[in-house]
Amino acid sequence: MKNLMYIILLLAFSSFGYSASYNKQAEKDRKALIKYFKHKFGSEKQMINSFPYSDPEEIKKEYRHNLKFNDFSKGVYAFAKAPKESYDEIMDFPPYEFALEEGEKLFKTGLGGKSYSKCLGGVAIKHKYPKFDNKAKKVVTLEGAINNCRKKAGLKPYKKKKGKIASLSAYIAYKSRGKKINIKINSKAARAAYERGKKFYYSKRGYLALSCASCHVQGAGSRVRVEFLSPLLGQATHFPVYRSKWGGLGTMHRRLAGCQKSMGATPEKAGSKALNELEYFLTYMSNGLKIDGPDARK
Amino acid sequence: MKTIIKVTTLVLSLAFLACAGSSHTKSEISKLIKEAEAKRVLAVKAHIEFKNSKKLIKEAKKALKNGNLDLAYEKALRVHTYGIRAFEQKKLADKHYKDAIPK
Repeated sequence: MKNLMYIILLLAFSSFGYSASYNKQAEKDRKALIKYFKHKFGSEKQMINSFPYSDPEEIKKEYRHNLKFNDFSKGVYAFAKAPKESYDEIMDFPPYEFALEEGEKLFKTGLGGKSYSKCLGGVAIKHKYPKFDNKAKKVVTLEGAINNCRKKAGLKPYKKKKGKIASLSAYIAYKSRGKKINIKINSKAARAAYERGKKFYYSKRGYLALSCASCHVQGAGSRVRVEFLSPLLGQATHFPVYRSKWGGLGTMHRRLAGCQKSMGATPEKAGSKALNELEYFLTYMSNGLKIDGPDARK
Repeated sequence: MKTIIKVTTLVLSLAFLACAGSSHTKSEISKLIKEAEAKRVLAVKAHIEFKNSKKLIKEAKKALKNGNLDLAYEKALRVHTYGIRAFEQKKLADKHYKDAIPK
């Protein structure tokens, strides 16, 4: 009997150890990224060295120094002083509030008169998405899960970039505010999806020969004309986002498509496997940061 | 004598311009457009197509139809080069993308 107990305990521990090892590389990547950005946005001297093409006077006066891990959830507003001031002014009357009202109504009655709560497993769930569905062997984003609920209820799925899906997602994000992002990689297939997302992020594409990382890792914090480039760490905290450029709310896939166009590449379709896996990777990189969405950006 | 020199210069420069304008024949450009289109199809399949390739092919065909050979050649050549560059980038990404990851 004792031996049997030992065997069961041994099996339980070994299976736990095995499942925990699926995110070993991802954790290594995430910790290296945090270290990289903490150094890049460290002391005044470190920052002057990290931005060799910027005017040291600008670094001294226009940037905040010594950023902490949690600061990165605010994107460029964590370090750029002037944009933070205009952001604070915008946030006196948040431009996404209209969407929250619509989102709440849709969440409570939008599934053929019923709530999405039962199908999605609650309302404050933004921090758990995107998830890897081990049965379907694919990444499911929050927007994808909403549309899956609609399909199950015999309703037409929403378009994935803007409109009702963005409002619904905004309401869910609002209810999830303050919860820490907790993306899991718990199978071999999930690990492969993460690796594909990572490869997409670091690969050059388009006629300008840029990768996402060129701007948001190596170039993060630099200026492109008057705009600052946000760091990869914290890029997933504030979606869906109201952009002044759009004059409305949009999902992360809308933003990713815009980025790809700016790089001179043909954008992947919203909800495609490539973009879902890209979102899986970049949300994993923000693990541990608090959900801050919906938010406003230029 | 001066008039003869002037007329000769004018005739020669016109002949030079005519030669320069027809540096690529219609069939050469058609072939280039076809090659560029084939490259674009491959790039689309590999998800590495450049943003304006489709538009450029359309413009090249239109310019060829209108007899604007130089413009057609320039547009088709751009797509052709884009195709080559897209595949070079993919090849480099497969080999070196890990170098850009902070360690």
